[in-house]
Amino acid sequence: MAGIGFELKKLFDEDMYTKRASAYLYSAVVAAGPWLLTVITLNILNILADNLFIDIIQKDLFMGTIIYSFIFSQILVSPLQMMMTRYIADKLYEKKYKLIGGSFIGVLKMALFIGLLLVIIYYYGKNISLSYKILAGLFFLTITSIWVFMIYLSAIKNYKIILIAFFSGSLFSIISAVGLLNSSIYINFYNEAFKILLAFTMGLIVTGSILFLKILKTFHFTGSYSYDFIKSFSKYSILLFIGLFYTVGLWIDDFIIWFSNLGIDVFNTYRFAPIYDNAIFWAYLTIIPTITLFLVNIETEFYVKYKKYYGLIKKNATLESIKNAEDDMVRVLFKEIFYTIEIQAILTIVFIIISGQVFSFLGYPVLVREIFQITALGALCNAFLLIVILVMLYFEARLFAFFSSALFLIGNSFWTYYFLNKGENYFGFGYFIGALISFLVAFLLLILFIKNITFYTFSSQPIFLKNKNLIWNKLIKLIKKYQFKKIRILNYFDKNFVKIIILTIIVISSILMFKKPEKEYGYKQDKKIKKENSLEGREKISPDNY
Amino acid sequence: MIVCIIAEGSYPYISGGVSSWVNQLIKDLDEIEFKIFSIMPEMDEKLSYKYNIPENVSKIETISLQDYKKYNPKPKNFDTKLSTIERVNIKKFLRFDKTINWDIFVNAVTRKSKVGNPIQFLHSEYFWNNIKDLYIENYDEEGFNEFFWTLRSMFLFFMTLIQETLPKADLYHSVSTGYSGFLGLIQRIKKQKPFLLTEHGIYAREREEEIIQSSWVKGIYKKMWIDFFYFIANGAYKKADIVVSLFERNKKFQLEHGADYDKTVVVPNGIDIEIYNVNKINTEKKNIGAILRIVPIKDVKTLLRSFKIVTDDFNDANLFLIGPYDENPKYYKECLKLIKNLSLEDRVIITGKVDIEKYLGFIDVMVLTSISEGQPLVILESMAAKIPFVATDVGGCKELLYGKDSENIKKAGVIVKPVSPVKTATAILNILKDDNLAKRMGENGYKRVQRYYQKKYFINKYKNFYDSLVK
Repeated sequence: MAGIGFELKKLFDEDMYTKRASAYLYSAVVAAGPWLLTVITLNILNILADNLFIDIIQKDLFMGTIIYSFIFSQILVSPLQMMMTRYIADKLYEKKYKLIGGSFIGVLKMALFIGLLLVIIYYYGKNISLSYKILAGLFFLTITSIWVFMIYLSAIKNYKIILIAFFSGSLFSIISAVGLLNSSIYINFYNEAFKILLAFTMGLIVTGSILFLKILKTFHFTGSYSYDFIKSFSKYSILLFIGLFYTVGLWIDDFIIWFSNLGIDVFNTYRFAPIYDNAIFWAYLTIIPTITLFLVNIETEFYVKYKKYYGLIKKNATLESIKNAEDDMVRVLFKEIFYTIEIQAILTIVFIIISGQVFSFLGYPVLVREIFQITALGALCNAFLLIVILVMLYFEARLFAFFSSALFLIGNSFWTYYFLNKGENYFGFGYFIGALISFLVAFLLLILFIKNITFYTFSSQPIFLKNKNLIWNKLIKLIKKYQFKKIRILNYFDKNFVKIIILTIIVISSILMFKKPEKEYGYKQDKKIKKENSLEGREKISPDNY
Repeated sequence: MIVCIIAEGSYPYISGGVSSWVNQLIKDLDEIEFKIFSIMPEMDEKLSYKYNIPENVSKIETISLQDYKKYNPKPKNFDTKLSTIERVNIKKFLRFDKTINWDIFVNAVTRKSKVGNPIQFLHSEYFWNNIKDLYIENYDEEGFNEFFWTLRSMFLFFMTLIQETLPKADLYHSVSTGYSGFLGLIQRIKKQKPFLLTEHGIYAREREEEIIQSSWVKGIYKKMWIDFFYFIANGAYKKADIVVSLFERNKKFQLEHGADYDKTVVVPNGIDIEIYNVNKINTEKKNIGAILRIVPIKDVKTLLRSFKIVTDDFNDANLFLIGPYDENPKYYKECLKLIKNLSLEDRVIITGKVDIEKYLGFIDVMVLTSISEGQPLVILESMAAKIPFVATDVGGCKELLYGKDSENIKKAGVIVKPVSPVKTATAILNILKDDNLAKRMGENGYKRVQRYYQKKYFINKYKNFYDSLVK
């Protein structure tokens, strides 16, 4: 992770306005790419589809698929995210490039395998058509793969390709959505939902393919080191939990709210709370400036000081010069943190003030705006918490980072649950308070840590190493025993990917096109049941249907 | 009575002067139960007992320098719970300050409840602050990373040793200072049991020589390590109930480094003189003998060079190198090369490990060119066999060959400067050329051994020490 900033510093050394702008843009994409991708494209698709959806339940079905795939793929990949970033950074440092390529295959296979299992288990027996299930599964696996690609591409600092990939993917989604929705093809009774999801999926496949090809061209693939990364589990296993706890903590309030009276049920398949989720999605959009500022300012200015400090220690400098470098580094660190907090606080306030107008322009119900206003504050705290956790990881204070992320998960769950019964005026308060407390505690921990930074830097180094890779080596053996022996497909894909994509699209579309429309009555019955059960309640709260 | 012998790098795994001495002591005091606590650099399968362990040894425990590995390298944080006076004494310890109160220090650092386990202690903020203060006081021009790691590694094994539990015994007998002596000191304080310290060589000085020559310790850290060994030797001298040396020169050293005059005693080695009373075999050629292990400390190269000079006058003389040569193969090879370069291949006989009695009959003069010695048994053995001796002026050699001032027995050989082939050769030649002188020296040697260096004397002395300390 630390490497990204240094590359950026180079960008900034050339003091040109355009260069600076592009640097900000790149880092925004790196940090917030997923958000930009999903929220902006989704909103465009939404606006496009708004007039075309025959009834609200199709829109909900589509939204449910998007929300579930997005959230759960992120949770699925989150444990590996920090872990693999660290692994790649280590291997880049050790110049063991073969292991990086190998680990990519291993991680991707592992993520897709678990993802596929989740898809099968989750959609099995659910009350929607098989074709929609397959498409939703494909969508989920595509997002999962993109997360994995992003880990590798941000580690090698290739921002341009990320930008291109997302832009082409989004464009492709929008164009194909327009095309599909305006065509007279009737796919099945979830016609519009299916078409829009298909368009979105295809766009993501385009994004994913571009990223994937770039990775294939960048790394060596021998296939024999696929699971070497598991060895580093023993050293960095705590990173798995930091990633997982933070990400689950990020969404736990949503999960709780889904089961409140804001929640709706779609074909017994998805249960979510459109009002809350929408507000939260918008709230997260507001913290993109923080993440950008953090990446650019802290990672560039701070990273130079950081490098100097550790360089001096390594080079066996005197304690006095180490101390000076430490003071310098700490000063820059806090200056940048407070600067980021200031800017973000001002921006968040501005967003909250203008949210009234923007949301009424977009036609959202008042409740969305109210929840947005409080969750924007929560997102603010959450962004700072993330910064603190990342800074802790820079300093190898993994235990502190673990504690902070665990506290966030617990706090967010507790307070959201606590405010659940207080009525709809308090939705979002749990998230805000949970994030605020964990940020404050984490920040305190960071201050305590920084105060003693040189002590921790020296004394945390183990005096000797214990060889305890045995369990992990066994796991690697086990996986290797059951994996598919020959992975020629990857090379084949590299050479013939255009053919394969076209072929896949033809196969899928032909299956879907020639499939007979399913029985109308089933759909109508479903619709009736839904209306009776949960839709009524929801419509009472939000007559405008956001 | 149970006596626990604390040995470092010797008994029962490494053969040599100290080990043989320990084995002899145990064998002859067969009414006493012995336990052995052996400190070894590393523990592997290759280590085996080099002695037939006498039946009165009830237990042998071994600790290796890698023993800290039994602790978790990522310890739980431990905040030391120490009183002000304990902190003061630990501070003194880290500064090698001889005014330390050992009792307070030992009672603090041996308790896991006060300082945590060794790894926890080395990771603690308390240790860190001490190291930092020490650095700022004395070493602030040095690189800090190296300083930190040197101190950590210095105390890593040391702390492990401090918290080690030794077998129960009525008396603890360390057979050197260093780690062994320090363990004795700890038992003296922790278990309130008598502590007897025997020093064959001078451990701290041997370490000093080793450290000065070593390449793995650099710059100021050489001095730090040396000071450290002198410091813990000082502690052992102070806390031991009886400090024993083999000869006057070492006793003087011990007194200079903190041992109390009243409890410092000289007990020389002793041998069974009857074994060495062998019949002389007359040979035409002159035979020169050296009973030694082929290792650098014995300076075999000087011996070979002086022998080369001797062959100028006696071109058919033989040199017998009697003893094992597998301890330091590199040095052994160098010696073989030197023999070849001096074209002495036909004149030098390397016997390997043998019974020396067979050779004593026909050796005309014994030589020892060591650069460091304690009180070599080989000199005693040669003296018992009435063979004149040429030895370097190290350790107790001079005292053995020339006698103490109070004696009226004359010289049993010649003392020469270390690393001087010409002087050694001259001394050898003088003896070889003058049969009368050789005979007189042989007789003098025999008389001195008979009077002062018999095994039964030293065994009795130790029996008395044990009895008087354990009432």
